[in-house]
Amino acid sequence: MRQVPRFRLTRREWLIGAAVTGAGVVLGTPGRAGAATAWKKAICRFCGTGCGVVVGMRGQDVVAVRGDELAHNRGMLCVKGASLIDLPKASGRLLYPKIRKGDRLIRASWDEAMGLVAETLKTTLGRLGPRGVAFYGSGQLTTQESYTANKLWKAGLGSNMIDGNPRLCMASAVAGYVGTFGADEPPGSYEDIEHAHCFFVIGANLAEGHPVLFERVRLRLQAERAARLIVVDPRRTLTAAKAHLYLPVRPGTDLLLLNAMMQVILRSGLVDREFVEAHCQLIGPDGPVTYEDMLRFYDDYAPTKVAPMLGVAASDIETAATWFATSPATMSMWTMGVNQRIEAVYLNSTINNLHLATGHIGRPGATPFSVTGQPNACGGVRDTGALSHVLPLGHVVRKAEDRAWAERAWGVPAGTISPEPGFHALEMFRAMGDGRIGAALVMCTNPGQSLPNLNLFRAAMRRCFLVVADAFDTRTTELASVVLPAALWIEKEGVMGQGERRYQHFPKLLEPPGEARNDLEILVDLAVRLGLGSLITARTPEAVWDEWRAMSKGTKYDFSGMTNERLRRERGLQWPCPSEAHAGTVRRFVPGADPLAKPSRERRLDFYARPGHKAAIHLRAHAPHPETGDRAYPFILTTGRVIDQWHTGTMTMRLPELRKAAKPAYVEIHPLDAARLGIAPRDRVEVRSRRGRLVAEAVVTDVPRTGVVFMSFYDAEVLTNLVVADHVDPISKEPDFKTTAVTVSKV
Amino acid sequence: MPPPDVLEFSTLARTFGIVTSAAVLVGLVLIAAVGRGAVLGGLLTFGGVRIVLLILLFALPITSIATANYFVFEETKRVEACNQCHVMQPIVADMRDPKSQTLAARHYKFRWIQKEACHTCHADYGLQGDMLAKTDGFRHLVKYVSGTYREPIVYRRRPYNNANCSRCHEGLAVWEAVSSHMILVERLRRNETECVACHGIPHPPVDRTKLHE
Repeated sequence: MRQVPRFRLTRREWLIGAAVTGAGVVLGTPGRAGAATAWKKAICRFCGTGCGVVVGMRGQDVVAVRGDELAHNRGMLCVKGASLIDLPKASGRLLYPKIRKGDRLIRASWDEAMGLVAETLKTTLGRLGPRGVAFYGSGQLTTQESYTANKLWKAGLGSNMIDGNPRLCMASAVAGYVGTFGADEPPGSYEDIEHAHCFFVIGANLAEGHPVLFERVRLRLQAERAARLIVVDPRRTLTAAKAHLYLPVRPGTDLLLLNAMMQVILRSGLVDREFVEAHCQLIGPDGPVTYEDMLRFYDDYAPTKVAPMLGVAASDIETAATWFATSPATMSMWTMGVNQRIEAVYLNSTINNLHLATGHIGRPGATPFSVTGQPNACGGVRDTGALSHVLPLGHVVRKAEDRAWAERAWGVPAGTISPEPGFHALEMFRAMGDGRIGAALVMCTNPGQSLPNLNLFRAAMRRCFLVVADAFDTRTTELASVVLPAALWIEKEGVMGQGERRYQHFPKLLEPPGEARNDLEILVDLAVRLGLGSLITARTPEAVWDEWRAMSKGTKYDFSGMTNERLRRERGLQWPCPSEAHAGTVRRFVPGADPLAKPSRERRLDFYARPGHKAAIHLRAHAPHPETGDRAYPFILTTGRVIDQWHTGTMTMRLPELRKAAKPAYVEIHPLDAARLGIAPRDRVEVRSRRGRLVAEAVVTDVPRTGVVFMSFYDAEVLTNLVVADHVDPISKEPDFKTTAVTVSKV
Repeated sequence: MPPPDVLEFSTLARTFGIVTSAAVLVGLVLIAAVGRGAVLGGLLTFGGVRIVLLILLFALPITSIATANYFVFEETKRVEACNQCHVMQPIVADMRDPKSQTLAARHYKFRWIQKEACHTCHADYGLQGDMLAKTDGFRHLVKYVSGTYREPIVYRRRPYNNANCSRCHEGLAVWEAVSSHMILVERLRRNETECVACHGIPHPPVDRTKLHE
């Protein structure tokens, strides 16, 4: 018989076993949660929501990224933020500097590359003067980097030839806020979402562009069942699909809608006359006007008059105006559909007008909120004044006293800063083409894909000595004379300011790969090589921050209370924040909440940045868009974002899950239009404008309204912006990416 | 008004368990006190005593233990059971706060989970999820009684097991209509991305950066 081995335990073994098992059950740490050995607070690298994240580190590895439950986003992220964990490992990183030899970019040392850059900049300065060298920055550089570049150019080189990609996204919002309130940046905060009873969303597809903000809107609508969502968009987006009232206006006409809403509010007794009298100055096209003038101005925009041009029902306009005015608290939210337009500044002013006319401002939930697209367009570029016509903290190049202030703050002799503004972004690239600009440094952005009318501007970039610092190869590095490898995300330390005036710090947690350097090091190195080392004395993120913080003292931005130490500890702080004891400002212009606002018996809010402490209601007349009504090009191409890609896809197209999901460039077209043109789903179609042409796949869907086709611009293979027209808003100089006359045909 | 946490069968089992336990005690006392006399008096045969003892010493205690265990298992699914420890009270209070926007509060307020609100999302910790959840609960109990814990308490089983969510949500048309779900489906399945990453915190916030100090 086979011996069956028997499992025997002595009593002693059994007792030990039982004790160990019992202790394991009682004390054991469950799950894989031990994977991260430390959690560090940082911020998401992608959009302007600026979500707080916590990064789980194990040694030198990122093992987890989660939403920070204590940050303003309350632990929420979107699909892009949830994919951040793959960003440090993304393939295709630039590892060493490269110099162009013929049509190839050849590996070089940092010394060779920076030596060449500095020499070329010097010779160009000699040849063309300070206006011959340009800097084109980004709303994705850290505040320290943008500040240093701005100082180096304006105070060091005496050149205002510095602009950045926020010109393509936020310049119109800036001009809108400055026009109405005398000061840039939104008066309200994200937390107004939790108090609003009516959301007026225009020119924004929050569900895809800002999913975390939209989730908050949805939670609010769940919590307050009487709250209403109005969406204005020529496309029935995922945002519009959730709307209680959706207004599918024709592209380029929505100023008519806003003016018509003003007309309804003024003529139906919905206006808060007391608020307007106490807080507002009325300004027509030729100067101050009376209340009766204003009534007459808006009467031209009565709903019945404008509805046919808008392509929506007059009754819907009245409903929108009524909901807007009568809700306990109304919050407007808008982004590129309003800002990237020829009438962008007018649209911005008129949204602000709606809030002033109804008194929906400066209370919880009542605010005009311009949502921003890049993580540091606000803090880094708008606030530091790293644009061609402005100086830091709301000062402007044209004003002598503002230049004198900046010269004192920077410790440079009077007269160093040029009184002549530099070129705005498109003019800057045009000047690269015609030789007015000989050398340019582009940092952390991809104009070779993101500018409109790319045929023109890509050719211009080729003619210039173009230096591009980026973490990856892009459609811009391919045009460069010198390519510099840059650190990405948590490979450097910095501060970024998101859309609600909140400055947030993120630490350096990883070493950059290869020889990559952070942009601040590159700028400091350049300054030293240009002989301006004595100007750029702050050379670490910490030192630059302290210099910058000190500069803000006593200004309308005053964030001198935001020390490095505080920013490291806190989940961001909102300026004004004038002392270390100050908690930051959630709502501006509200006495008691905003340290700069003075209480008064006559008025509830103090618009201290405007003469007489009164906000301006600007009357803005609509003019037909030059691209509409073109018989030869009967369709309007509008461009925008999709949820799983960010901007030109430089980062998101390198994250495996997002890349897998990304369709090659496609054109959305309405089924009725498709049928008329004999276009079937997935057919290849040609989109042609007066500027260029492209071929992409057709997606037949009723998301865009008839006569409108839509494309995104993340695909580096098919450049959507070859077709897009390069009209700019005459005030903000921001290009119109939303309205291009095109033909569509099957190929 | 919170939904009632009524588990009638377990209440019945508890009553039954109490009755059987009482019967055992009374029977044993009777046997001890008057048993000898009863046998000698001819009320019971010797074999009869053995049967009574069998019932009293084995059958009824087994029934009693079984019903008691069943009762504890069922009873600890109730929110009130979790709420007995004071460290859980802020979490339960948040869940019952109609103004709170945490995931737990929304599920509770809108009656997406009718009863066993804690248990439903915290049941599955593995193949024998229920059993493991109980051992976890026992661990909590020991730490609570011995005072070997720090506040605020932190959920350590991250990443959270998405299977708890997908039990109700996966396969629904509204779930599949969200493109981000399709992009992340493999990661969600492997718990590399938690559902709560995008859908808001489940309970009041926790400062994760302080966890390992």
